Amino acid sequence: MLSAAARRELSGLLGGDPLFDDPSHRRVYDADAYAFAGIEPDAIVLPSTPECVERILGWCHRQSIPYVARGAGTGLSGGCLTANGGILIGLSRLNRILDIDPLERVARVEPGVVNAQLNRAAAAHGLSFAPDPSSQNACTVGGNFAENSGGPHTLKNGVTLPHVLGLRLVGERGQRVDLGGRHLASTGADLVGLSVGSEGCCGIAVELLLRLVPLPSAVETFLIVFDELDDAARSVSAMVAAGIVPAAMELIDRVMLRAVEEAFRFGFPLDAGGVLIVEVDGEAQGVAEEAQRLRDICNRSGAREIRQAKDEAERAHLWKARKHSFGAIGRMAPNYATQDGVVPRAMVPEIVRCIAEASERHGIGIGTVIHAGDGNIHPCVLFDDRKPDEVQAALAACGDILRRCIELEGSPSGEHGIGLEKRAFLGHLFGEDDLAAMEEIRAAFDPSGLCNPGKVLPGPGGCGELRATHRQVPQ
Amino acid sequence: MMGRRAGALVGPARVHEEGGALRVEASGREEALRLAELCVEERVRFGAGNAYGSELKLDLRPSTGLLDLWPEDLVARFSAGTTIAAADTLLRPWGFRLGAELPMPDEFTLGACYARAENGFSAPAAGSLRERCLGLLAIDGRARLLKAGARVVKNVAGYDLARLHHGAHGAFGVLLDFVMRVESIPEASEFRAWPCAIGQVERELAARRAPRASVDPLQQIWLDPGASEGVGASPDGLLVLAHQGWASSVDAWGRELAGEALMPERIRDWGYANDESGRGCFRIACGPRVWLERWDGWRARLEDEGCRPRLLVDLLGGRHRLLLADARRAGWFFEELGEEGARWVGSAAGAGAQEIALRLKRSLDPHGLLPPLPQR
Repeated sequence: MLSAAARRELSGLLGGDPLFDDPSHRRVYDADAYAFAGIEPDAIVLPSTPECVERILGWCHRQSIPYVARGAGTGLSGGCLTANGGILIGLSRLNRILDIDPLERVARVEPGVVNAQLNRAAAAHGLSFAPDPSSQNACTVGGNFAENSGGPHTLKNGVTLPHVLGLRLVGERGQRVDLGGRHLASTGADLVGLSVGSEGCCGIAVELLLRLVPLPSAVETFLIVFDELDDAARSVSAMVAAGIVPAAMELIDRVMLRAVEEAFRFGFPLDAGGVLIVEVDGEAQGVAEEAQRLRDICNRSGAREIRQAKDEAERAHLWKARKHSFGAIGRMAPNYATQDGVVPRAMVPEIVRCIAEASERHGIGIGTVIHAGDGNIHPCVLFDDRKPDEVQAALAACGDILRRCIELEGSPSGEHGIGLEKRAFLGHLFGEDDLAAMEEIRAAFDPSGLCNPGKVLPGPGGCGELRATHRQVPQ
Repeated sequence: MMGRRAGALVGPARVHEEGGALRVEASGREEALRLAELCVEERVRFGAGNAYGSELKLDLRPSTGLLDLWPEDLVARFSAGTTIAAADTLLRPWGFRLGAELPMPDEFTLGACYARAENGFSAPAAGSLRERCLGLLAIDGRARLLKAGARVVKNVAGYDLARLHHGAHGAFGVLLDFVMRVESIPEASEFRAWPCAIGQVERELAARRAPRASVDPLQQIWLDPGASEGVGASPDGLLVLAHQGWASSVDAWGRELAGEALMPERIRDWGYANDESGRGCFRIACGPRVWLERWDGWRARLEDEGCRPRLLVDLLGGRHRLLLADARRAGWFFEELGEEGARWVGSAAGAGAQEIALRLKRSLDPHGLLPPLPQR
């Protein structure tokens, strides 16, 4: 909690922007979409200008008070929880699209701009911001930057990194740090590359210079039904081997399929082993060519049924099955944890088996969605956080799956970040020298150690020691 | 003495004295690491390849090659000393390529291109080495062997040590090997060209890019009259666009855009050649509009000084290669850019960014043994 004097001082710097430290506000901001923990910040501030952010960080530096930035709170790894106490800085009021230059295909935005909002503005110029997380109607571009977000269409278009040309950071003393510029990375330390995906630990971005890409002139979307999930995974490999680079390839397993069908009645066969949503885009002739090759491959791989969207409405309908899958599975249990790991594409069948084994071993339900083209898995682990044994079972299952991802030469996070949740796993992936070098990188941006401490790198209170929840739940 | 100690590690035949420095051939990561440890122990400045200011230069070309290939994942691991051309040759039997289309492929290695942030003409559309690098192994200034990334194409575990080295000219370490995303060799490729004066470039390009065309070209280049001699002389200059993909798609694109079709080999050979005296090109990164507005004036000035400048502009990437100009004048050209050009340059020029870069340098190279940070 802030002392009265600290509260007065901080309030005075905000220029009328709000500061909250009453219990109800602290409770509202105690969690993001990470299911296993909630931590109340000492106070919440909601600046509306970059200058206000500078003053806040300067004050935190002088007072040695930690701080954490937060966008829309859609993060799935506890990245915006105040693990070491301190101030939570909500950036949702820095939500202006400052400029879109359609000729240079660059957008200058504040971090609180919602991803979908930017895409709507860019679409007016025939452009888009490529990263499209499933949460894009809520998540902010600042959060996308912090987590190096992906989404279903990153297979072809890439994650957030190649789409960030430059940014303005507020550093640990409240100073402005400008990185990058209006074109591709060139000579000099790639600080833009280092800061993308730094999970809010390397300063607070108050302005982003983003690359926009042209909207495709032709798109074809398919939903392909397989009797066995392995057949679906094999068809993915076959498509890649044939030189097809779809815009998106999403695999939905039987458990998730059932949840989606029960919630939305799409007419999916409940006895299917899995469903693949594939989208190809680009120039019309090329799209037609890829579409035909894709059909041939899927038929040879044992597809039961291939549905092709006839128009934009049907395309949106097919994508709804994917984009609402997490919401659908939320109907099946009081709580669920959306996990995030990644394996080499060829190992997808193996990790799917691991997920099924973890579900059986720990006696909990797991429904899975996979960005099949890049091996990024999202098992949704179902539990009831009123039952401690189920919480522990869910945590154990998550641990089993993530450890297996590392054993298969993958990573414990493809796009959700390490945050609070997975710090302990970095020790399985990297050696001591690697982790020491990462500490040095972090310290180079933030020597004070006040910027989102207790995240990413292993330290006291790692994942395995998290308590089920810091919150009270309704009985 | 350093030469003797290095010779004891790798064999005396692999230690060469050149221009006051030692060039030491290192075969594999263990030898490179031992040499780095020796340099740290003796406080000898070291680096790889032509590293600036190094007293001991690790020559990693003996460890060239494809170390691993995962064809189902379209991922490969290479030694940093592998040239771009060799990498593509090794991948070709599998139907793959690097896809970065980098300059001087027979001379530049993967390590050199990554350290120098070299980009090919298709980088803006298809990504550069920066985006294709999934992981790497490097030795820092403390002789620590550092691993970055993994074999997977999406990975946000920890801080991105791979990006640390991109464009840093070896200031943070010696690059040993890379895990790269590769791509399938496209079925077809085509270059089309149109006469185009400098002032018409933006208009002509806009008419041939999305959304007015069905797809963006993969490469978009403008050549000035002198530079276009090799590929199709035009008194005004030449706009050259390239596309790759399925044969039917490339064919449709060519028909849509018309223009004169050019053989790809003419563009490739021409774009990255040295002149008859062996002087290579140098590059200045600047926004297309700023540069294009001032080119004629600068060309006149260079010609007054006895140069034969020819300009190749990577329109989408905003990079300009001055070909066949005297490279000693590069310094003068950087000064000419001033504030107007600096707006467009992607290097860490600001005080805040320099402060961070220097802190990184002090951490990863506390004794100052690696090449200096490139700074403007």
